[in-house]
Amino acid sequence: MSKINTDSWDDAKLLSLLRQGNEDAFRALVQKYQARLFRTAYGITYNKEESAEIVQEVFLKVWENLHSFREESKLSTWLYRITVNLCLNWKRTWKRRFRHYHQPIENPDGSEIPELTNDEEHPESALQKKEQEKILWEKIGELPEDARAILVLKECEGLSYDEIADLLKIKKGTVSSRLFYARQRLKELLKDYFDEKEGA
Amino acid sequence: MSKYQNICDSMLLSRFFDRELEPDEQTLVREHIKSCPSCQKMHREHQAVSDFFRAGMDEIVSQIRFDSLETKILEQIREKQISWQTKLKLFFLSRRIIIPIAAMAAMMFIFFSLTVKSPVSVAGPSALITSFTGDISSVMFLETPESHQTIIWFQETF
Amino acid sequence: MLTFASAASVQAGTINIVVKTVLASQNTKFADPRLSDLIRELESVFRYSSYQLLSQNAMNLNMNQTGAAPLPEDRVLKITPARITGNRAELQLVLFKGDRQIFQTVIQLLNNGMITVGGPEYKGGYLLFNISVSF
Repeated sequence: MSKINTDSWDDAKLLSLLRQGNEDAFRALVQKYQARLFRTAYGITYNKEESAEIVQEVFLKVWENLHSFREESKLSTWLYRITVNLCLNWKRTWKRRFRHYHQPIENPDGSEIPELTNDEEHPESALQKKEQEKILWEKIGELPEDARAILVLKECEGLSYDEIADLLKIKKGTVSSRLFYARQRLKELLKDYFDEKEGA
Repeated sequence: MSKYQNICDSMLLSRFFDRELEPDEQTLVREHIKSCPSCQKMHREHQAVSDFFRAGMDEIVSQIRFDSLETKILEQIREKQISWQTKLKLFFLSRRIIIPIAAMAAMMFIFFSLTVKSPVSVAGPSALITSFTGDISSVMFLETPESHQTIIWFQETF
Repeated sequence: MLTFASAASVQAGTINIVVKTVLASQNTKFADPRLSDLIRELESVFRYSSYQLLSQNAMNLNMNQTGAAPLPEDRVLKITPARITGNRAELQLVLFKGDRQIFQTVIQLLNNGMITVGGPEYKGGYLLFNISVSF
């Protein structure tokens, strides 16, 4: 699929074209945001297949509700908000609960555990490290979904506390404290891993 | 900055790392870190956690074929457009043909309900489970969402 | 004790039972054409990319007569119809692995209805036993 050149399009221009039913504008919107929304969805659901389904659903909702978007927030905030809401509601369906239950413990999400090996390392220690990182990555998945949502919006999408608070409809102080405790928890989980790395 | 009794406060540092302090506070904490080993350690830990999380997420995202996701999204939108157009056409046609269609649908329903055996679509579950006992580690009882076919899912013990 | 009856020999007051053994996995993308109706149902719950029919056993049983369907890895599913109440048949299902009884259950299955029992790991996927009845 060819890339749409959107260099001269800001959100206002994009919105205006979208409202005229311009398909190129819609493609541009998808191209600009799909990876970011996927990452956000994955940060919350921890499931690639569901995240892809959620991203599709987000763009459908955007297409259906473009005319009711009142531009009280940025276009990106609106997209993130739909994504987060869909993710948090998605888990309420029995289908998703069952699918989660049904995932094999040793490979919870297909073969999507990130591989973070260093090519310069000895193959055996690289394998051990990979295994260790896989376990750690699974442990991050044990954080509450709302904590992961804030973490991914801050760490990966670079949103400010104000933007996250607006998006999740919570207080700025709540964003700050939840983020703090999520990171504290991650530090605890990763402590041995980092100690070993520093000692090596 | 006298409001901060202790700059080596991890919550304060967390906001500093996120650039969420006022500019003068941000400067003060930055200066403090330069001479404070314990805050430097917190800074390193914070950075390591961020890097680990971001690298993991980037790795996941790099595995996704966004071209095909984009295609799927656009196909769905086109389908929606077509489905609305179809609905609109049906609406205008409906007055003339609704009775023959209903009659045909009724005949087809009777025909298929007599001839097509499987899968049967019912309001209740396809199977009522009266009892279940076993040497297993877990069991779940489910229904498929549309035609309510019952599923028993169990895990054997080893 | 075991009865392997042919679906063709249908008698009055008997129950036709078909047991399909399916291997569901994510190893490849494959939809066995013999399972098209069943796959549509399963896909609303499971997220496997491959559904393969491993075996199919048809039996025609009288009330209180036990039929058995041999399943992979020394498993056997024994089925005994007990009675027909309205449009449901009461069946006892007992799954064995070797000499060990894994579970037993009593179900009331709709005429022309089906139930799927699944869970055992097998060749990198999971076994599903689909049981359908008509009477």
